[in-house]
Amino acid sequence: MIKDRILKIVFGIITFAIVAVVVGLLGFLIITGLDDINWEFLTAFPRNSMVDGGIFPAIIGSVYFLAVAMAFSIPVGILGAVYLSEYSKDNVFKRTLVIANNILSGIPSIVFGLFGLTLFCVTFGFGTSVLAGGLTLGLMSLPYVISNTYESLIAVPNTYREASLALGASKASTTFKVVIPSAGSRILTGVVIAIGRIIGETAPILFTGAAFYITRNPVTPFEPAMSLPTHIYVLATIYPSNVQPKLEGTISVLLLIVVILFGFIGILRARDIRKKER
Amino acid sequence: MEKDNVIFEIKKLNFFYGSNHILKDIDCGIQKNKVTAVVGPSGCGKTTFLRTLNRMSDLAPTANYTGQILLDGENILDQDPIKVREKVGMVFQQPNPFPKSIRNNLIYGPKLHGEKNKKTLDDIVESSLKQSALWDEVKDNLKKSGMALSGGQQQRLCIARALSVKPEVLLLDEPTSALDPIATSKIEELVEELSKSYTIIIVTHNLQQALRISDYMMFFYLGELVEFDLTEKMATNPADKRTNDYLRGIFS
Repeated sequence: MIKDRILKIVFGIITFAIVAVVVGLLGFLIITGLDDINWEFLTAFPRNSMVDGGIFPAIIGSVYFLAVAMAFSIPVGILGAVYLSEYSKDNVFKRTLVIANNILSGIPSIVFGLFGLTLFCVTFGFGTSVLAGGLTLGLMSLPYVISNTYESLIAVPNTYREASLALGASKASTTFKVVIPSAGSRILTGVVIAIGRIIGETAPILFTGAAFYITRNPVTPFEPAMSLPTHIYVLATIYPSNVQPKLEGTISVLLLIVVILFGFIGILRARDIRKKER
Repeated sequence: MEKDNVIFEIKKLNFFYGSNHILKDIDCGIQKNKVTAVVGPSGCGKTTFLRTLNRMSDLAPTANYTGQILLDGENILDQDPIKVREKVGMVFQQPNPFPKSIRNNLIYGPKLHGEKNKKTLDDIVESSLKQSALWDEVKDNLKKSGMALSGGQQQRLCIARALSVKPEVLLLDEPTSALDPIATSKIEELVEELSKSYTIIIVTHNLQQALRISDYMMFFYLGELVEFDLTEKMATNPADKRTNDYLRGIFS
């Protein structure tokens, strides 16, 4: 059919164009900064008003923020999702929770930032710190962790639950020894997606935990830290144009991390599919 | 029917899903170490009846019942369902091995009930696989995923898994409906073999199968237990007209 062939070509062109824009943009940004990345850039502190040196504290800071965020959102998110999928009855309350969770993932990150500032920095008295910034990021990643985990848990066939219960297992054993392990790689994928979503977030940590410039890495969670996205923001807005190479390099590093993370997700998914086929 | 060899004594059992009256005044005794087939048209309550015997029916949020089911003299409707299910195992319509290795499928139950000794667990794996006639096919591949077996093997693995916790009764809910004829005949042979040491209650849509493998037959119609007798007697000379009509294929 001639019509089918035309449609196939049209759709092909549209898809190709979209992919080309995304890949082109990513590739351009990563490649532009590649020549600025070297060992010193990755392991040194910035010097000379950010013109020289590297972004070591920003990389370490990002790791710290993510660690705090995930330490908060993985247990809370997974247990919340377990409650929703395994324990709660299907009623208005549960449906409200699911909808609220979806709305939460649509809230602008700057709102999370201001909320974190009020709650963690001021009310809890954490000040501008890795802890406050990490918790704010954690709050932001919570809806992703919950909805991804929830989806993976409800995808576990009911027959597994029945098989386990019929052996005289309690609901808790069934959940933790059969249901969660069967959903394991999907849950992990969801967590990595959540990390990918928040690793580049600037607004939530801008007021709550980010430092423009530090001379030593934080040793307690009550100190502020630098981070990759806020470092990009600072270099792009506050410093003169002679920091351009450092800016490009930082963008490149951040994007490479994101690409690697999602590559990892791709591998996990491929393994998952192969496991099912086997 | 013999009175002294009854394992399940069911008295005035009524079962409801919400306001739906599924089982009506069921009174009967199920014989120990025999195969009892439960037959009847779709929606007659036979699967609900089976699932009540190990309290799997509790999983439906609106389930409700009255009456008594005595297992060895104790009313299982008053007991903790977890304890009941240890004694009354179940195999389902669709083979449902866990996405774990064959060995882990079989030690899951014993471990839950506190068995930690590796040697004992190995023995359980071997004996349950031998009882379910799967040992020779998988003994060199116990680490292989249970999902990688064929449908018939998966179902025999599920039977082995049910046996791994040493139940007294085995409930089979249309265990061969998803299997091909060869796998089906293997399961049927197995049921006959297992009935020497276990009480087996099997729901089936396949009348021929019920006639082939069962000692006793229960015919359910619209939630009532219409007739319950020796299979031979029911097949040749049913007491109730409805049983006769069903067995002759007048309705199905």
